[in-house]
Amino acid sequence: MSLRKATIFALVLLFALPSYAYYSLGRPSGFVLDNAGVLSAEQKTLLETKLSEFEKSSSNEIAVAIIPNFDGDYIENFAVKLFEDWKIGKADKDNGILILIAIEDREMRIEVGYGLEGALTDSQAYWIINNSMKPWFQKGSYYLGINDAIEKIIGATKGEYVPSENASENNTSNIENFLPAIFFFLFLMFDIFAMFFSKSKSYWAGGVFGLVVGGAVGVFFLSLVTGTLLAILLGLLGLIFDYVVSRVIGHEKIKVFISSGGISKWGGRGGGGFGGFGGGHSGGGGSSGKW
Amino acid sequence: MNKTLWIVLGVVVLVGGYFMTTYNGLISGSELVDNQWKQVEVQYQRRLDLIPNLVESVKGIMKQETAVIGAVTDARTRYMNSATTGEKVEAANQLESAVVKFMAIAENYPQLRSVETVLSLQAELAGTENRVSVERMRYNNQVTSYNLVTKRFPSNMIASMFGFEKAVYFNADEGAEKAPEVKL
Repeated sequence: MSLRKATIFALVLLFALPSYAYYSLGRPSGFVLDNAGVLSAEQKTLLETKLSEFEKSSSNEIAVAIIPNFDGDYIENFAVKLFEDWKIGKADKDNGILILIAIEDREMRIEVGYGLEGALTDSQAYWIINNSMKPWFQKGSYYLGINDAIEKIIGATKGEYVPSENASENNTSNIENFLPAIFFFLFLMFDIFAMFFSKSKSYWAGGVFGLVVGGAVGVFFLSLVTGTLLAILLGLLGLIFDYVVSRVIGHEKIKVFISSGGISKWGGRGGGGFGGFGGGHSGGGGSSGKW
Repeated sequence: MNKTLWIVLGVVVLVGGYFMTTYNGLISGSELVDNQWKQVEVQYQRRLDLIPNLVESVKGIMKQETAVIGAVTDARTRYMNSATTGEKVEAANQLESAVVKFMAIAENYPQLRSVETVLSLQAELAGTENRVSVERMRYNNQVTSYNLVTKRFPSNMIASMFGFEKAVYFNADEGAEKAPEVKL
């Protein structure tokens, strides 16, 4: 295909796919996001506690996002994009629900994850919006409307999922729950490599090791280009690493450092707080409304 | 001598690795496109299942609107009788515009507002239309990323070697990307 054809093709693609003005709300810092400032601190805490307890008992994740406006986007598209961004619900169950409210646009939507479509049908979402949220929102009582909606949603989901006994283990499909373990493993590997390469006579073996591992992993699991880049990158890193531990620091000092706990003792930092949602998906189910 | 052998071996391994990863990428790409199309069809089926109930529940009140209701049921039958994907897409588009017209006409019947089943069914239908547009958007995104592999150099050589054809975009009717609302 000629370059001109390719350019035309790319342009056609660009115009064929509609793009809307979705803007990212950033990483979620909790179950409730209030960018419009309609909830007091206590109200936010109350909702946060309720949703976090519901998540613990049922593993269902309900997110509330209150924003000023959609910036020209329409609510259904914004909700799907935000759901994709935040990945509400557990990855293996898709049991997330998003309550999205735009104060200036006076619109709200309940977007339901794939896994809860049976428990919270579109028409139930419609009734929750019109009977629980709308009347309160019209009076300006956003907290009461949201709280009522959450109560109704929780009611609707009851019985759909029997939380499995190892509910806490289900959460580990989320990579963020693995992070401490991954860090610990990396630090441990660091100690082992430091020990090994500082002991070996050469100061370049680490470079060769990095090159081979990077190339093999990259070419077979990713692609040729990434593989080559990975090989070069890891090779260089390995070279520097080996040189530093062999020549700059020396084996004796490394040995003392590792016997005192090594770098892995830094890996055991505690988590706490909100760790993000679990990786769930939605497919446009739910309902929208206005007030 | 020994050095040349190593270089040749290295090149063979790299080229072989490239072939393998590209071929596998094409396989999973076309598989993902097919799978996403299934998702679209699932939502079409959902729409199909909802329509008879809705028509039944509004028949009494919307007596004069035989043309609009007839268009919906006709398009539904046409979709059910279509065999090829092309026919299905065409029938689905026809059904979609019939549904949108129906929802608009229903606004003229405030009596429907008091019938709970009608509102519920309309909410279900609106939700389904939204699902259709979401799954269709995802289908088109999947097609884009797959087609790029089949068109870009040098992966396009491998694609044509093994007969991977580019996937077809779903062109919805003008304005169909936004689902209808329940406005009773």
